Amino acid sequence: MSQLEFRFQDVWNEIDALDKLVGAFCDPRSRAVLSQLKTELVGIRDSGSDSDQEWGIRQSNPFYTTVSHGGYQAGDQGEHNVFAEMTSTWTIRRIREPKKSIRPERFALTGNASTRVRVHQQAVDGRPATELAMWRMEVGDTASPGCHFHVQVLGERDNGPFPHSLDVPRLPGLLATPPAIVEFVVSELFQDSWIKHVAGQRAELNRWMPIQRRRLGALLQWQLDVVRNASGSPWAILKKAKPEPDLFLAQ
Amino acid sequence: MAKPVVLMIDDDAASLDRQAEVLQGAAKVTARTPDEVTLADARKASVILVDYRIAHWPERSAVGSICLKPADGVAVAAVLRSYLEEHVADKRRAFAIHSGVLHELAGGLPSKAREHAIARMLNLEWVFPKNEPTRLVEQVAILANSVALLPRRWPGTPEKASTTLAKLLAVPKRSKWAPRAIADAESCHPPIHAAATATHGMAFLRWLLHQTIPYPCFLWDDRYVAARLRISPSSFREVLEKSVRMRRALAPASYKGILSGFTGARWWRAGIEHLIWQWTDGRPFDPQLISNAVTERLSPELQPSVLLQPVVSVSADSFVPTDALIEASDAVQIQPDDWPTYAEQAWISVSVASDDASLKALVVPQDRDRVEKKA
Repeated sequence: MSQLEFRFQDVWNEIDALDKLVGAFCDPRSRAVLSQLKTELVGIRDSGSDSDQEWGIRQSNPFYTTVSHGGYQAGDQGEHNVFAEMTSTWTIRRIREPKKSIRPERFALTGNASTRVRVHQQAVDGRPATELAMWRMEVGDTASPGCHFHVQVLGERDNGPFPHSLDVPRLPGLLATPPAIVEFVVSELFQDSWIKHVAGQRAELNRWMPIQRRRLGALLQWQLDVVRNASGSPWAILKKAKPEPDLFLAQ
Repeated sequence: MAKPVVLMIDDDAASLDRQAEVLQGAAKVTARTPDEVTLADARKASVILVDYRIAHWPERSAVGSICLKPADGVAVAAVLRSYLEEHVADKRRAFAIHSGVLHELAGGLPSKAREHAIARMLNLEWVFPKNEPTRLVEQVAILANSVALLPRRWPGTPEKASTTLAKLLAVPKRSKWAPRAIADAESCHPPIHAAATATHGMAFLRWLLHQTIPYPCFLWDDRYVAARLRISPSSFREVLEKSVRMRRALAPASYKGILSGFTGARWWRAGIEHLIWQWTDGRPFDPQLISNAVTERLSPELQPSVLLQPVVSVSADSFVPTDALIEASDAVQIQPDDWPTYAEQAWISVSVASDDASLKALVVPQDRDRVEKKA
């Protein structure tokens, strides 16, 4: 069974780095969300419980981006003023160290690992914000039939398009953790300004970059290895492939 | 432990006697006019408390060289510090000023509740206002006892220095959150290595006095605990005062280490977070679960905050935390000059910052557009 493992410290560093990096792209009402996400993970590490626990950006307190005034197209030419709302649910379990007195350093994904992204049109003239798009970026489990790292569109309602009963396509994805997905979404809504902003944040970038480079590099390398070694249809093999639990643990 | 020695220096002998009497209960007091101070007096003292205004000093008036004329208590403290560094190996000694005119010492900085900043600026461990005698006794006693707690030789190895840190801070060893508390403290860059060794631990004490205890770091004051529990700071204090149940419930997170009580109660952030984790069954930011826990485990008398995301506002003039909780989404982060980078953010409301050019200049870059828009 492929229960991907993560180091607590890696994910804390990732959250800390994003918290500083994201700056004004985070809506003021969500200023505490990332630090709370970290605090919850610290709590899980220190909880003494070795059973499954839910961790994520809660629906009661989502991460909101600021409003993008058409910034999702180059030159801010987009038609809509939009913002994103992100929540996540990860079922994780801390991995006990052989010596009980040593605090766990890693946790494993043991169940659901889904980050939901909703893009809303900004409320105007008394009309409430309206949802324009929704997708989920997920990490599969042993039983998931599609790509291990995948994206699904909608899929939460009984009626179409993309009704709950039709759980395809599972579009291949490259991102796993909620912080990485936050960056993805921000960079989508603010095509030009995010790149410029990041370029000017050397100190924060120096913390963010190595984590993402290592993780993305490991994922791409694994996919490349699967494809190179495929003896049938490379895509079909890749689609079925499950990474080793330590995929993201290499330093 | 024997009572620590406090050396009091004042030009007014009558005032000196009165103050020495007040302090007698807390420490062994040696009262001297400036001309009477001997090396033996200073060597024995854990705290040297000098009056700021030293007007009546005939011997000073009689000498010609201006280098022999310390103008005030700050200068006397500097002379003594320099002399003791030369002649006494043991550096475990705090220098403090006692003054009825702290604003004069502040050099233009706001003085209210900013003793730590003034002391740091003047190369002193602390400055005490004269108008609060009861507090003075408590604080001098705590300071003197804290100096006495420092090890005679600060350990030279990193491992032992970390152990000393945990011991002085009285981290509850058996608690599950002890490693987190130590990690939190270490993330605030305590000077526990070369600087502590060279100063016999005084650099560590100064770090606590000037750069840790006054700010929300690994220790929280009542306001930050109240904000985390989503209740008003005043009701937190009121109910804590009278409720044994609440005190018992929060006791595991109460800070009891070196300098505890010096400027009011402090709480381990890691301890409070651990309690909330337990009370909310692993949902530590769920407002309803926190509210239920506060009512059931602490007291139903606590006044809940109606804010969605309450944060502590600092004052606009002196940047000290206030009892005012504000909505995080209505707040901007400011970076006052002396606010440590490792401390939690200093918040102030958007409207207050927008109306004040000097405050606006302190707003962090990511919030600048919000104060500009508002203005």
